[in-house]
Amino acid sequence: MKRALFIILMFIGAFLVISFFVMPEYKIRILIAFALYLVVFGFVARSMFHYSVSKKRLRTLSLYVVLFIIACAVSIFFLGSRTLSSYKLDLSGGKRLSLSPEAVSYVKELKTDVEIIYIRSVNNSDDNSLFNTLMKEFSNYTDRIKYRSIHPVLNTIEYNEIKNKVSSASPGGFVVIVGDNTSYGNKVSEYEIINAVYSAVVGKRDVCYSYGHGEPALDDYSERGAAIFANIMYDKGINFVPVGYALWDRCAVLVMADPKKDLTKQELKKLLSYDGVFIYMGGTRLTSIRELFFDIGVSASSVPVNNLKRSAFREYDGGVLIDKVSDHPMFKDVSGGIVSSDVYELKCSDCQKLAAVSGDTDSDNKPVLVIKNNVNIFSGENVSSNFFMRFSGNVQFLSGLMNFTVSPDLAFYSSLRQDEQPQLFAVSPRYLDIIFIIVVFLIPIVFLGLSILRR
Amino acid sequence: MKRYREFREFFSNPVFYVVAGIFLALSGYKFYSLLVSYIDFMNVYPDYLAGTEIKALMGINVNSYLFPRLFGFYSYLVLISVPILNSGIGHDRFCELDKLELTASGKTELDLILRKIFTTVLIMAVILVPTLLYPLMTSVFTKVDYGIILSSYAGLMLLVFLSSCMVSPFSVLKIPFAVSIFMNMIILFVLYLYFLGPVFDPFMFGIVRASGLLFILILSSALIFISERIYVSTRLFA
Repeated sequence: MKRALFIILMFIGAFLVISFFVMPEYKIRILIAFALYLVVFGFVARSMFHYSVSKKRLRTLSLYVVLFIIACAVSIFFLGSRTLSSYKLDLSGGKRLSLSPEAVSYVKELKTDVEIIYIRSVNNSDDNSLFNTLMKEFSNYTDRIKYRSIHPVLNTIEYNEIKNKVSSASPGGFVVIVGDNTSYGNKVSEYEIINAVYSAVVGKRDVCYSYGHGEPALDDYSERGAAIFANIMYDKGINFVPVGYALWDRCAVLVMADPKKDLTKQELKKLLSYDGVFIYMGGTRLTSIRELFFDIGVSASSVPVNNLKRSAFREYDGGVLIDKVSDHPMFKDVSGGIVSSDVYELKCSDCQKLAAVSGDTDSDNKPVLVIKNNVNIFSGENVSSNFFMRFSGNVQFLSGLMNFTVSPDLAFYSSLRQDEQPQLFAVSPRYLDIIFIIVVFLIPIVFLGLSILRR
Repeated sequence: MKRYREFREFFSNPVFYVVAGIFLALSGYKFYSLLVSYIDFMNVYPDYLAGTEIKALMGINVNSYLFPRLFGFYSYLVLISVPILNSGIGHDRFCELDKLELTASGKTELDLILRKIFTTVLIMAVILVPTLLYPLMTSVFTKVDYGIILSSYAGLMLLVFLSSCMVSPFSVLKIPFAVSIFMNMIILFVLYLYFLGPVFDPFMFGIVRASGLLFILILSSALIFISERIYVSTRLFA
């Protein structure tokens, strides 16, 4: 009789646990029922335990109870961990292990379903675990985002389908799919993911690309062309539309890269009265360009900066390493070196100086990237050419620059977290010796000495 | 605290001082070697500016390089120390000291188990006190993230508590002292490597997860209950 009652109780318990998973809509009611059940079970088990006379039966009963408690503990953990998965306390400085509040508020307000597919590298030495960790964090705030990883060899068909949609997709990067829209991120980071999601949600954003002055063509795959730049930007959600002088004033954003011919007086006049965002990337050898900048309030040098670190890329015509000098949002995801063939010093009094030539001393750091009102001037030559787009820093920098100018309403404008920056750290050998003596000898010897005294 | 027999025994027993001395010697050497390796690592930083290695260096500072590794090492030392420090009830049963307490002072089996567990936690806390010197030493040279230190110590103490609960089911058995320690060490290492590591790793980086705390709470409650059942059963059927 008692055994039968015990088995019935066990079945009821199992039924309640399974019900919780099968009928999540009745979660609260099942939990209340389960709590009541535990109370009843406790009373019954206790009475059976106390009044049973057989030792064998008592032992079996104890075993059952232990097994049941283990089952309950496992069930409660799975139920609780699912509910509590989004609750955490970040004690790290600057909360650097949490998503930024801007990113969280953006994903919370997502109204469309988003699928993110990470492409693993062939030998699996990639950022897949980082991707999963970040996506798990994002999933805590929204049900709209689904994510998975694919392997280019094991999932060849799917990989080829993605490549057809996003030409620059490659192992180590991820693709965001929102309906018919796609976007691509080539590095796993919070910024890159949220940026790619934004790009896929809003669709392609058109940006005017000026032509007619010897600018590199967007379909030119030679070393000096800009096809790679155009393709990467397209996959990141920015569509370059070549426009001539006549249509400049209709553009919200106008990009001019490496002009080889001087601008006419009419063109200069149009650019001076242009009220959109103007991005200039290229040298300042041309007189008309220097005149234009002078009228804007930026004085540009006609000769390249000559005290350069040219050793790294001597085979090409120079090669200048550029350092950021300001924690501007456009540099948020720049981790590689930014390289161009030549740069020209820019001087201005009331403008933001964002980057300078890498030099040995602070006085060598001559500004080469400035923002004045709605004009962004970067005096690096060929930075967007196919040759220089090989450098990851150039891709990251140009992506940041374009995103900042094209979508100033983006959610992730939080300042750079200082904790993410490498800190130079040094301890003199004398102090190191003192530390060694204290921590390895002195403290343990005190305890070991006490052990001898206590004998 | 000193009214508890365990505390008096521990502080008058050379085993505690030997365990503490070895623990601190090993952890001190680990701290020193991590400090030296971090200095070496940062010395080569300027040479890598132009290369892709800068990517690997981004996000590395003393707080994210040194302390998670140091506290990860403490975890292993804790897994070795806890079975040695928490082998009490088995020993008491050999000496029949538990009978005295259970009958004369009216304590229950659960009381004894809980007392052993919390004694171990407090003893480990005493051993860990000198390690506070390491972050203080580091703070002389750079800014230390005390949030990470706080969560790491909290995680470590929870690991000590959970490990003490885990060794309890075996510790209450009347089996030889060395066998109990050895078996508990193996159990702890296997469980830590395969199951517990992911629960405690976030603590080392400054994250306290509610699901992790729930896991520790449920598992420790279940283990205390099982220990008590085993203790009662083995006493009844002895």
